[in-house]
Amino acid sequence: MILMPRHSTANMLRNGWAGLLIVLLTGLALPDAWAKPKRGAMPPLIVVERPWPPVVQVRVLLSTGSLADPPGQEGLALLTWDTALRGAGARDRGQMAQALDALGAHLDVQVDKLGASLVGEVLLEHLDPFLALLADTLLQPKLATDDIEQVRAQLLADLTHLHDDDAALAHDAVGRYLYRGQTLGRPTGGTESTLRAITPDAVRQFHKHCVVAGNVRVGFAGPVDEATAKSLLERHIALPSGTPPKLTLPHTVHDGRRLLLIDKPRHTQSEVVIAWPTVAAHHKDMTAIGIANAILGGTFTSRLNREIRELRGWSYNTWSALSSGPQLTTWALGFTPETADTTAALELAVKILEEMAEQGLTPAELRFAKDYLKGMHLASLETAERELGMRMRAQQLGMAADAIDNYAAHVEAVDYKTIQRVLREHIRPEHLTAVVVGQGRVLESKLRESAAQFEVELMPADGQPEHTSARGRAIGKRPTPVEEAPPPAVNDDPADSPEEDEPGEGNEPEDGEDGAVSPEGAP
Amino acid sequence: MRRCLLWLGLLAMNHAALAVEPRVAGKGHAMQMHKPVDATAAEAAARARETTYQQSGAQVRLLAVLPYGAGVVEHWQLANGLQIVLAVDALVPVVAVQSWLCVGSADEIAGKTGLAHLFEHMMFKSTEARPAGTLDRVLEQMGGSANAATSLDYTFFQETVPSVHVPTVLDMEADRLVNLDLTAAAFRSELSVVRNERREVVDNDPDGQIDETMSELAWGAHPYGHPVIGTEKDLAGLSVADARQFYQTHYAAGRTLLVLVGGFDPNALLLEVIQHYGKLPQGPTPQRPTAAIPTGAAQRSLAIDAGAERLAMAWRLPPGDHADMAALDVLTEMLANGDSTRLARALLYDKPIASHASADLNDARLGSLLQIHVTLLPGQVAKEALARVDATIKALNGSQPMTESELLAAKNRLKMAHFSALTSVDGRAEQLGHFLAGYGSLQPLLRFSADVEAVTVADVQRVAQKYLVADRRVVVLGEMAPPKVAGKRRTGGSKG
Repeated sequence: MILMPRHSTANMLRNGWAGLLIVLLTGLALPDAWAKPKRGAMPPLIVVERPWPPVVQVRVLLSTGSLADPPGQEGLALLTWDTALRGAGARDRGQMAQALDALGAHLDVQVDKLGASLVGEVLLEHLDPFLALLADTLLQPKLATDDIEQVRAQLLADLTHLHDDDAALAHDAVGRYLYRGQTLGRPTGGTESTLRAITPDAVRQFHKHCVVAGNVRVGFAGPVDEATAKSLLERHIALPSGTPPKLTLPHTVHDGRRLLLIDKPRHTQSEVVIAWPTVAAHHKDMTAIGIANAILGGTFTSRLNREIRELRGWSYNTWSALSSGPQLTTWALGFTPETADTTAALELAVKILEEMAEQGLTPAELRFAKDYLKGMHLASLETAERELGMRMRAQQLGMAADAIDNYAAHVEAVDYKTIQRVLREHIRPEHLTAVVVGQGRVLESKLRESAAQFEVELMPADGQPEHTSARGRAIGKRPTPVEEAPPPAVNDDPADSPEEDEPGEGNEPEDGEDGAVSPEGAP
Repeated sequence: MRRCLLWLGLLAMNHAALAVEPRVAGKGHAMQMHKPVDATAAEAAARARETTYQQSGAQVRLLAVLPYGAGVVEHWQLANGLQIVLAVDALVPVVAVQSWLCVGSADEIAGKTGLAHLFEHMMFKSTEARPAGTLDRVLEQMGGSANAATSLDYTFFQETVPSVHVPTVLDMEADRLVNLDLTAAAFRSELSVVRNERREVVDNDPDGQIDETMSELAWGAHPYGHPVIGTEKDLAGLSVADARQFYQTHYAAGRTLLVLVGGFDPNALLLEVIQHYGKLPQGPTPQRPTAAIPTGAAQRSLAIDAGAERLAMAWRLPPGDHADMAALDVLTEMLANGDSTRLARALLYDKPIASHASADLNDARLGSLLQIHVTLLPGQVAKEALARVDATIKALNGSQPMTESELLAAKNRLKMAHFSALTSVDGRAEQLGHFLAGYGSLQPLLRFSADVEAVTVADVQRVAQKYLVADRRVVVLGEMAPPKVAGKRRTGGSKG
């Protein structure tokens, strides 16, 4: 069992929390019924405690996500968990919705490549009945055929809606294009054909395989202490034994530069995302990579923001971000220029990347980024919900146990020599994958002739990136990136795995996932 | 759940307001108790500080000490008119510093729409003492974050920084309030950014186009009738001289509200505020616009380039501090915000035709809107959604009045939303700023808990029958554009 306190006193002192710590522990007086836990295994527990406001967030994280979707059935994890919300235990969909609404509670599902989460929020006074509903949803969803069909129709509609949002379309496409032909490139939301191929039996079997001891962990954030959270878990959630799906992913890297141009003939603006893979979340270089990202496009004063937005006014959104995973991290940047400025903005972004890889950061930039990240980390722990999300994510990614509590020390330990090496090794401007959503007819030839030197292929807005075929255009003479050591299987429990982190080097977990790109660092 | 109307920037906010009540531990199990602050004692302490300040020559007065959240808010005012709201939360190591300016898009003049929002962007440029980029660089170096937003009635600037850095932030905020250096080059660059923002959130976004059409139809020539981001025509015609005029007219201490929430010593912080802002001139105090709420039904069909049709509906309501707002909040909740609500069942679950349906109460100083947004499933039509919404409301006002269980669920959801909004210091500061800048008083915020608790089924039925009527209703049907005729294109992909 993992029981993590909100902060150890030592860590709170190190993080400047001295004088702010208020611990209010009240006695435990449980009704008789609460002393009778359900039979079965209780999941590991994380509690992040705050005395106020009287709202509790509960997160149930399953370490099986869409990477476990069988080939040809992409979308299975999402279909399963969206349907699980439609009735469980003795309640059908309408009764479950009515029971949750009566409490004023929310219960949602989040599915990504690495896992699935049931995330709920409820007033403290309603926590006990809410947990009963949550437990039913986790352990005994109805997964009725009619509900599966309704959810399937909703997910098919979501695929349509994706094409109405250029930013969402670009972010979805770049992950699928970057990891084309690999497990990581398969879409969490599925495609029309794969969603239609999923049978109700497949949904029920998937649920059965996922919800087993060793594959589930639970977190509480809010005015609940560990003893209370534990007793509530014992009362409501007992996991069956079983073997969760295990995956070991191949790790390959595409060579050269290639660009997928997704045609939006009526749009006056382009959504541009450039991405490349780098090392896993728990890798020793990730803290330095986070520092580099702050200077590249992670802040308002970053190089990309200054050159593209502030000096030239080419784009409202300009960003770079890291989407970390236990196998590798996707490093991406993006901006949204007018059609006429698209090629020039792309060329400028590539030039900034090349300069950063070759010349590195200045000592002043390194100092600035360290101060920025340390301060932001403090703010990121302000609310219990944010801290819980970070801690559960860090565990899921196999990061060092002190990755969050000692983050500031890890950042401070990165020296100038290290950051220069890391930039040379982990920004690979000769191996870039780009997606541009914009006017294909206007942009195609300009992008082909651009100094950015991408191999360009045009696709209609409803096309599938994994069905494209272009190879990257070879650039420069730098050798192909070195293959990483084989990563751990994605279901390995980090608590049972030897850590690869070296002392003094940690990384703060980012929201996101292997193979999907989100502009979390976007200003 | 109330939401601000037409936010720009990257912010969203929730500000349904329920005063916080001491929580009762549930079922005898161990829950954390948060001891409420004694408001009377807090006011006595603040009065004593006021006397000390005044004896030392500082021109500052205490307007009120009010219970809020798990503590109190202190409301102060300097002689130059600047208002200060302080809310201490000793549990957090950061402070939200928010400057609220009582100027929004409603204050713009004809032909200059978008100026309030553009000026929000310009406030991050250089001052006489600080070169361009200094504010962002200093904030980021201290590990802070900054953003800003413009609405119909106000503009606000927010920074969240570790507590130790608040004096530096106050110094920069006071500086840019009066010393902004507006150069033509900076103006041209930022105007280009804003026009790109407009392309992103309106011109190339079907939902943005629908929202803009809704504002125009609902409000017409009213100050709320033009888009906050401005029309493309007006933006193209703006000059640096317009920006300078706007700055001189609207940015001044007398029109500013400073909200500070987080971990700080209120005495030390107020002294810092006095030091940085106390000598600033009051500045002009232009009249805020006034206008009657338009009447008359309106409906428009808008061709959108999208994969599914949309429906947007709205009913014009009174200003956000009206006595009916609590009942209207409950009505909004019971209609669509929850999977068991009437519109969720009518549109999403019983013979579903939509993939998304929501209701929002967008409150503002001169008038509010209860809005419903529906995204249809592909192949379904917006007109069918309109028919179902109309039928649902007709039933509510006739054969199927609200039930007690619907009332209880709506109140619980409002309570949850309220507390969720108070989780962060930013959320609390936005809530305080919204009510004080929008309505000139914190009372609508502080009394809302009791107001909502007092709402009865009869109240909800009354406001539904009074406000959900044809004369107040506005409809925008986002319908599919005719299919494009195109020649065969060479592509690298195929349809899945």
